[in-house]
Amino acid sequence: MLLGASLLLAVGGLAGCSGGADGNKNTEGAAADEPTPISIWASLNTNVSITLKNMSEITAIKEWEKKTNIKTEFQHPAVGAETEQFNVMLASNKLPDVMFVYGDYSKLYTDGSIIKLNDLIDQYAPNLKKILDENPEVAKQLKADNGDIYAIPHLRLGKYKTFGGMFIRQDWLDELKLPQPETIAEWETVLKAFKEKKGVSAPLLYGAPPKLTTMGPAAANFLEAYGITNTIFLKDGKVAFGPVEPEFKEFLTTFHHWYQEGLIDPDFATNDQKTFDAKILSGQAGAFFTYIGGGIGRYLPALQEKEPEANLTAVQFPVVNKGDEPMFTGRSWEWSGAGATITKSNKHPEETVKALDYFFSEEGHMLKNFGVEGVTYTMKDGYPTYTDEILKNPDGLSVVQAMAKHFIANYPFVGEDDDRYNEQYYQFQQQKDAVTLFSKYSDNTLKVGLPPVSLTTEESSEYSKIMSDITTYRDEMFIKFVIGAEPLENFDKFTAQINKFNVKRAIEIQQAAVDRYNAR
Amino acid sequence: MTIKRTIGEKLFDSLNVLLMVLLIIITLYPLWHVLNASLSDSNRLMAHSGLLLLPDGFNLDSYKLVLSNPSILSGYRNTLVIVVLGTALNLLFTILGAYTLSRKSFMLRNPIMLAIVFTMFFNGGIIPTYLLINNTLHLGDNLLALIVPGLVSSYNLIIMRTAFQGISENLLESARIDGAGEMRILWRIVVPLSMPVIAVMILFYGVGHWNSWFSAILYIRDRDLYPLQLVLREILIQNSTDSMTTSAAMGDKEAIGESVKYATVMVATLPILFIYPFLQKYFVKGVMIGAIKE
Amino acid sequence: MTRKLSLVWLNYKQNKVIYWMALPVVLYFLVFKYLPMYGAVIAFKEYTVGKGIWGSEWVGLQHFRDFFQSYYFWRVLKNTLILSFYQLLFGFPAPILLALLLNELRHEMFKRTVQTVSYIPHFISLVVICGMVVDFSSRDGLFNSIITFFGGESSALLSDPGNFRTIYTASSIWQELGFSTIIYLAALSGINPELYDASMVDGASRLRRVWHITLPGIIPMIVILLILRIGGLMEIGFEKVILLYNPNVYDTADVISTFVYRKGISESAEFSYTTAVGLFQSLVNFILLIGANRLSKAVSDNKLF
Repeated sequence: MLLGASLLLAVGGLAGCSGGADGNKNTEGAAADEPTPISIWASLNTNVSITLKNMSEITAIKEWEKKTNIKTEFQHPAVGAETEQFNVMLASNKLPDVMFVYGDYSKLYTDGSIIKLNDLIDQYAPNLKKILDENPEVAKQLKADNGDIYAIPHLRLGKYKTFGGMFIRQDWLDELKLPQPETIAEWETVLKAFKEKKGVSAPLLYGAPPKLTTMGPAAANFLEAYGITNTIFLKDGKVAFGPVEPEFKEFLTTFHHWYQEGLIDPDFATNDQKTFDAKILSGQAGAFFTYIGGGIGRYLPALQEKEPEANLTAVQFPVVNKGDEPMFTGRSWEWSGAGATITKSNKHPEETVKALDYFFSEEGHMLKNFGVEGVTYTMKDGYPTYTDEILKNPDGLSVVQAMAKHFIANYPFVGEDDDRYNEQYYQFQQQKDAVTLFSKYSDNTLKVGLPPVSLTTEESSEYSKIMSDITTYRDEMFIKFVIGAEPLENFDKFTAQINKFNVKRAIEIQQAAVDRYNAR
Repeated sequence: MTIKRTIGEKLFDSLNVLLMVLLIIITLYPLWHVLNASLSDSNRLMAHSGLLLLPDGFNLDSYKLVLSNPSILSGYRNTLVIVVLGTALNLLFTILGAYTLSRKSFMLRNPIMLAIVFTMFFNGGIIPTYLLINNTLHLGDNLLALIVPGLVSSYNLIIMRTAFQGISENLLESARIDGAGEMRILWRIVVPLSMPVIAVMILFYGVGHWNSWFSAILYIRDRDLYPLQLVLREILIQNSTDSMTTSAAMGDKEAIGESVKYATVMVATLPILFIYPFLQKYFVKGVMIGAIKE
Repeated sequence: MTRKLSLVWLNYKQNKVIYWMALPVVLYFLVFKYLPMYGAVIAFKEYTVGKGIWGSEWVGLQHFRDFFQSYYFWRVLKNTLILSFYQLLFGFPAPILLALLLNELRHEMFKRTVQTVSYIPHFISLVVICGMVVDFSSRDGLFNSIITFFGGESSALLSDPGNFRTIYTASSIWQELGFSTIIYLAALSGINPELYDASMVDGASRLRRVWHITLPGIIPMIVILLILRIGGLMEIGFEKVILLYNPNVYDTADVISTFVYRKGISESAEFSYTTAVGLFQSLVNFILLIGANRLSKAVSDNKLF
């Protein structure tokens, strides 16, 4: 749901339900060959809950239990209520052995809820250790500023790192004999053509925050063409705040111009998901930002049902000057931030780490991403190909539901994702092309994007205090500048006000965190 | 009512009827919209904007999806238990509280009332209550955890007390002189005289129980004990378009049912809508019993 | 003090049954409302879940200071109060008026139908209702069709700060009118019909009857509900506002709860800060309620305590 935004330790986009029993019950006294009982708190992905009540029923999990001689007992919070359940669970002090979470691990550690894993990984997780030794960048992301490791991570080491971007009505481009736009100027030409020749009301469709997240990703993409973001980023290696940079004014000038020309959706400020969808599907939108899986997988068939010739293709992230490479690509980090923590109540930390490390072995990796050979995939020329059990499920399950029933590829879990999953999961050629196109310049983002730093409790509290006023002000003024309610001559007043909010201090806090990160 | 109406009155009556017809139209529309949307084709519904006077591409898939959920039956069952048992307990406690606090001879009634009103504004938040229910009373995974913490609503208590205060003091006094005890006066005179407000309480508490899901996410882990609203919430999130297009990671959903959103609203709303017509008769009865009030 | 206690003791002896009847309710409030109240101390602490309520550090009035010193404090305070006041001014009398009009309907079946239909929107979820409002308010939506029909000009209604309060209040009335009427209908049915008969014999006009019999019959309920309503002036829920607003109308639409909500979603859940703001709102509400109660006590017999 729109308002279901989770707070403290949001279990990243996963939704879950169902559950086992309380706390850490059967965790004691496992004999040598008896399977070690491990209770795991994790949200249950909604695609799983369509067919199963508990993650322990997933084929891959059952296989995992056999291979590592453990007995899992999954506890699942209710959908959309992960944060609340997590908070009361911590407060009630009845912790399971493993908590699969996403968020501020250092805080959990200093609060004494979880234990640190460095030594355990060195001794009992040879596969993960190998990955960390071979990929120092990944190890850096995983470690806290003091070098501690608190989670057995979920990693994405493949070549696909960007899963959302601009999509355009390719059929219109073809009809108007226009090439795909690369620069801002070319975009203007294309949008103008959409406006004049196709007569649509929203040549460029986007939404405004807070309904459609940070400034509506489409607008953010164009802003980022100017080499800045709408928040904190790295400028020549130093932390900077986008809206006070002079480029922000250039961007606003362009967008104000586009707004006046009718090139962007005049209702952009009031768009919510429903109106956003309606504009795409009623053929009023020429270009917009969306995600490859959930967005295009849904829009393309629905659009083609009405207009069979309609086609949506991915467009490279825009730049200002022809030939420049886009820098900001929404690249995801190798460590997604999700991972399994071992709580202080865990009586078998060695066995637990050993079992979790299984997913980083070749065998475990295949099990996690492809399931059981012969059942859910077969090797064709060394390429694991999903069987009809997955791609044309006999019980009528969709691909994603069938996958969720047998293995864990669609959502974060311990282990490493596999590109070969993405290649087969995307059903349409447009999607397969998109992920390649979007990921082309992904690594540029490493130079300008803020690394996954961690702030101390005091820093984070001070930072959020400063930023809450700034974000409100920025979002409000952004719209006013674009629609012309505030003349662009007042841009200096705008930056002056943000400086008054003490953006300098916010930048300092982040700079310190980046310095600590780089020193890891 | 055979007394002749003046022209002015006739005009007023016609205008009144007209106004009410207008009211019916604009207040019926939301339900009509939801009904049509739930029966529409999802893809066409997503492209739709404006009034929805008929289903856009008739389709029952969303109902199939909602009603085939394995937890929907147990959800109805649990909710029914909570509504019936919860409302009964609510009524008992609220009546006792409202009656005692409406007695002028009860010296502590004002301080207690103040203390109760205080709790409408100040509370300890989720966590202490959770610790009390879950760790101290061990009501985790028990439907009672969804009933006991909300035994009395201060707001409803105040409404009921106000209604009780409207009952003539003389009537109660004469009963007392006849030798009736407090319990007898309450159950034989006050309660029968207050059927309209009791009907309102049944409605308020019943609807409250029917719609509640938040305490269930805290206290209930066992999926078989999920109330209906929690089951429906799950289906809703599962099919939500918002959660996936904004998700920062890769979107992992395919065909999304926009109409499912509306089917869940129908499934959640329709049964409870029928409670009111049954309670309505008490409003009329009250008029007749009112005759013995003075 | 002892004198008071002995008075209570005397009162107890005379009304033993009443005291025992009140006991379960008093116990309920003690155990489930007062016992957990210690949790409110986190407003004065830097609460983290791991350290727990007692283990977290004291920060005194820090969170209150942060809130009061926020650049937007006055704006969100003003918007909250104005929006509440709109709700009070228009939303409060509307169900009373409807109840009176319903009471004047002659046809019993029709009356029941109106009642039943008008209470339905209350049950439709806020997300759906607000979805309709957003849709109707769009540039080519229903409201604009009506406006252009009467010669007006079409515009995105929800991105004009001047419209927000009207749309918010009107849609709330639309959704809650019928349901809020029920309580007054119940009160109306308690009025002695003999009074009506007597007045009819006297030949009183309908307006006089409404004024002298119907309205006085439900005044106690109206006053009590009004007092409770005034005790809620400092609070506007965030859900509906978030579904309807956008940054362009923050000037009139951003209220305390939405401001705090936005702070929450961007950073870690600030339990303590949220609790502090809530405590401030409750305190003001409580004072307002006591004031309203005093006033009512002075001008009428109706009071809460």
